[in-house]
Amino acid sequence: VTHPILSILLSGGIFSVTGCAAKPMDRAAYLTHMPSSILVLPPVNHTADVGASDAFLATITEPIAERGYYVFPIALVDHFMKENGLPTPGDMRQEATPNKISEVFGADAVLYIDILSWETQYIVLDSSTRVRLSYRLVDAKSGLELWKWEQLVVHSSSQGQSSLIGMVVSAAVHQATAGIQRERQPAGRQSTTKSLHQDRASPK
Amino acid sequence: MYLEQADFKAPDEIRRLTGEIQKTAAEHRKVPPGQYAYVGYLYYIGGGATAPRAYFAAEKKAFPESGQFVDRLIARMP
Repeated sequence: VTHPILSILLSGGIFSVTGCAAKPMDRAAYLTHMPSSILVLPPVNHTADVGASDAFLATITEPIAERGYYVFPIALVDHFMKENGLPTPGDMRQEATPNKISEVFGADAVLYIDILSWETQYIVLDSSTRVRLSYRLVDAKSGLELWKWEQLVVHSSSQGQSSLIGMVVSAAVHQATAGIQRERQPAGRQSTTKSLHQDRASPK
Repeated sequence: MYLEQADFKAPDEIRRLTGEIQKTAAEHRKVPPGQYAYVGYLYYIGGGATAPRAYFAAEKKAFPESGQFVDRLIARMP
């Protein structure tokens, strides 16, 4: 069952996002292994559009951080893995197992993203981009699947769609991750967090 | 491609992001996860030695979750 969840009018572009869980969402595994840090692996692109992955790298971490997680900086992760002999997102997916990621990065969970399709159609002056995405969140220590989501994003624009595609991705990820919004911390931990935040200053 | 772009625009990006960090700190708001580390990384690819360490350490201080990765990055620096 798919149903429109989000439809936003945005400076000359309209996009809508529909999502459906691959199966009725069972949050039990997620709730018992709720991560505090997530490592997002660079998305595996199954399409012919070579720019699709790059659009993600620049915009993907922010909407996940807004859900309350520590998200590892994806440019650094990408660089680090390339330096360690994993040149493509496909290689990273294959070789960097959840367990290894736990060991090397100390991440609680790994988010795998697949760009399943990315089609742009041009009709006179308008363009319409349809993107199909799938997400899989896995507990790093146990390899247990915590959450799964598949999503179709449709973006129509009378302007060049390239400048807006980052916003589309950001909105899509924001919507997709609604199911894994981090629960509020127990009251006892809030004061600690608050003092940590106040403690923050830029390095000299 | 993202990395090559970052490489190419590193000084501009550093200026923009450190400006953002200063503004955020002045307003007593929380710097987003990864931002200190990313600035450290930009300094690192620009050939810096002291600045990357300072920013990596700031990431770890602000986000202890990053500690293991940050320690690894610092250990690998020449």
